[in-house]
Amino acid sequence: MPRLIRLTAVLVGSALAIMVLPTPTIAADLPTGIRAMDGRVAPDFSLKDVDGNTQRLSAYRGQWVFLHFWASWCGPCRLEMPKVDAISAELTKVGMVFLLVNTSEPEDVVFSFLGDAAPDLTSALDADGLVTETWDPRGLPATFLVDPDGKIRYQALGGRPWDEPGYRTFLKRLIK
Amino acid sequence: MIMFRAATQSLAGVVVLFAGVTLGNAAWKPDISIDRPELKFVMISRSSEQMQAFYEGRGFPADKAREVSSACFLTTGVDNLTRDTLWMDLSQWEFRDRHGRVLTHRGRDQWKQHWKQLGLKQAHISTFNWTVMPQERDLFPDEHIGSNITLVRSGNDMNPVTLTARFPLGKDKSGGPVIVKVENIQCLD
Repeated sequence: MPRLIRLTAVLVGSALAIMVLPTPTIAADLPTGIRAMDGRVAPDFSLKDVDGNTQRLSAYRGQWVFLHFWASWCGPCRLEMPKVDAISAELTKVGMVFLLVNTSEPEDVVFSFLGDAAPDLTSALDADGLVTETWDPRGLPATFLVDPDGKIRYQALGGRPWDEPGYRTFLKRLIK
Repeated sequence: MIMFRAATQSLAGVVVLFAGVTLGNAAWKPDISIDRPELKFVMISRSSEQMQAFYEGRGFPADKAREVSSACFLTTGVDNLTRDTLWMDLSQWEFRDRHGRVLTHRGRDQWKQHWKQLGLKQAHISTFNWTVMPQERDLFPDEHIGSNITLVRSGNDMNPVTLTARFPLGKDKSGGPVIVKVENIQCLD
């Protein structure tokens, strides 16, 4: 009998615990180093890219944007770039926009680096670094995921292995 | 030619260095490496020549790049291994020289002001800014920070330098702090 009481107490306790625990959110499923943001409006910008085209963030409303700040002198940026290249090849086809912003480097440096590290990618040129300053990332590299309404939904802390299954699944889930 | 090669090698070293500081698994050996349950701390001293070469390699005019020799550069990395917020707050780090004198570090804002007075291009100010440690950062679980701390030189007999770094924990900094003491830091010429 005492055993039955104990069991009942455990079951009731568990039920209560489940009731008072917060409802699991998507944040609990986020891959390591991905942080949910508060949905603030993404600051718009307009920059020329290495091909001479104008890249305006707000032109991509209606699509998820993988917004990536980088510089070629930054070691983690160099290591991460091929992974960004790989995942972009897959996700661009299904509607995600990959918008890279180089921070403060000359066009020839950017062109040369991307030719080796990520031949399928182009990058906007934040020549004076002021767009990067406005976005104020926690460091370089930095990736923000901007939703189709132009709101910042996620931030990656530092370089991430985007081509690994957990990150790939996470990105795919966004655009579904 | 020899000068060029030396500069190129120094530059390559610094690029690898930044990679090492920011990625724990890179083939890179720091001067100082401290593993604690709450954090990993690494540091490497850089010479003025290495830092000048790095910034000249990024297009800084030579006379401006020479300005970096007024400080010694300590490339520093911190990994938050806790499940809480760990604060990297330089106001809670105390560097002392061999005589026990407190050393001051020059932060991003001071450098920015200095560069503006010297007329450095905005692009280079921006680049420099990203290579210097911010004054404060609330490190999330698993987050890493790696950048340079620049100490103002107090004379020719600073070494060895010691550091006592306090890392508060929790969103409101009420937890901890984790205290890390580092000895035998070298401020290189």
